[in-house]
Amino acid sequence: MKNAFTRFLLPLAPLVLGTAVLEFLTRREILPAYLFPAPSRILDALTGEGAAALWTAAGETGLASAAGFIGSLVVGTLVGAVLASSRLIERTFSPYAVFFQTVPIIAIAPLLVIWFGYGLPTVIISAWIVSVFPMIAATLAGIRGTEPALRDLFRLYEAPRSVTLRKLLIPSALPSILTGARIAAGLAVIGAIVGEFIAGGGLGGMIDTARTQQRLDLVFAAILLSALLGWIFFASVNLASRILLRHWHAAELTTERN
Amino acid sequence: MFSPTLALTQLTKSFGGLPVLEPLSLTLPRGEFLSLLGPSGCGKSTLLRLIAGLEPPTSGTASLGETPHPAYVFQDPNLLPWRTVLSNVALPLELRGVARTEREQRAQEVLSQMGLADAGALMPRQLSGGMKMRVSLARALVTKPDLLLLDEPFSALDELTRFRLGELLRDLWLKSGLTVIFVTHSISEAVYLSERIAVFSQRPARLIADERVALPRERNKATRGEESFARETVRFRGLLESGMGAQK
Repeated sequence: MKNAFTRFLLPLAPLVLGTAVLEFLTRREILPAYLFPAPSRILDALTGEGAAALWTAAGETGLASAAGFIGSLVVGTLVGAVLASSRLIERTFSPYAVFFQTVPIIAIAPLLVIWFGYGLPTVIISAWIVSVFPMIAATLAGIRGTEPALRDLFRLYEAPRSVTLRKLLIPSALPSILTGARIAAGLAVIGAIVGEFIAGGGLGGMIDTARTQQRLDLVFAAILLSALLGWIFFASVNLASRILLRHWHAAELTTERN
Repeated sequence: MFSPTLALTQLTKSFGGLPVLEPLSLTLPRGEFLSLLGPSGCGKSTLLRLIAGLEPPTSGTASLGETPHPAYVFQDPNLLPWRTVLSNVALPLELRGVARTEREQRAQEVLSQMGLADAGALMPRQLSGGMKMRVSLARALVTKPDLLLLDEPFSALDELTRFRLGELLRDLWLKSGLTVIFVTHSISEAVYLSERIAVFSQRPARLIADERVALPRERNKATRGEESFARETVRFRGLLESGMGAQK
């Protein structure tokens, strides 16, 4: 009972209190509506008449983020594994991988529009670009961190490279890869929204339009939905991680036997 | 019977110009239990890696005769944490393409030999240090190797567990006719376990002495309390110290 209180009710308290204060301030017009919409109006935007368009936009953004994120998972793990296979390859290509991390997405988004047009492909690519680097870096670090004695063991039994990769390096790098995926998941949502600012559509497009129309309630509603999306992505990766690592990382049983 | 399992000829190793192993020639007949005894960090582990082919020699050769695949036990158990005990033991067979039912049956047999018949379904993290090392031994033995290389395998264990695993290894050796090379820095461990001890100096490792242990083949707990055991321990200590003194 006390546990439930501290876990769920306590974190809710600041939200309830803050919402109440904001509602009061906006109703009394101490806080003008052009600066901050009343919480009740944000709620109305999320549930009222025009809400369908907002949720559809959230669905679009979610889809584009998911596509970009999955692209990062696949490409990032593959590229990470290739970079990890030799120091020479790593030295040659890792500066290009770093490029993806350091270049501001907002700066190249207009280029993406020129190349891929207004719409979904640009948004997906934008989500992919910002989320691929953490996957590459995490895979590389995970594989490099494999216990050398285990590599020796596989060498001793003359395991081919592909077998060593599949049965030793990837499983051994999995905790690191999943940490990278947690970061990539959140970044993919951000990348998609930035892409939509330029390419249109989704929550990003909605925020951009609502902003010009002084519809701050819509802006706030869209921000809340993008946070919700980010949380869903993060929670999904956490769940996948718990399932994949349940036998060896999450210590369920630690009984010592002699 | 006496065809050598291993022949080292003028074997040397340096890392970046720094010699680790001075020229070493040595032959090992089939069925021998040899310990490589030397101070910590002297290069005896490197020698074991050269024998296993995990490291190329700088010069000379290490020829394994009719033993193309030696088995190796590392200082740490090094089990794959995402696999069950049984699947860890079966790994070498899996890497050699042995079918699942056969490799699991053979893994189960070796586990039973190690006194771990019921541990197959457990995950490595559920085991104690001593049990993990038994699993690691089982994994090495599952391919029925002719030559077993062990690199200070018991050094991280408590003394009683170390004694017990030593006795287990000795029993296995007596029953199987396996050839064993055991790296250790413990004099009493080398004396208890082996038939023959090669004593090395401090780095770079130079062979100081290569002598037989004057103890009966049948050994047990009581052996450690006998006068002959104490005498041999003192003798090999003297040999080891002569290699340390050369540096000081």
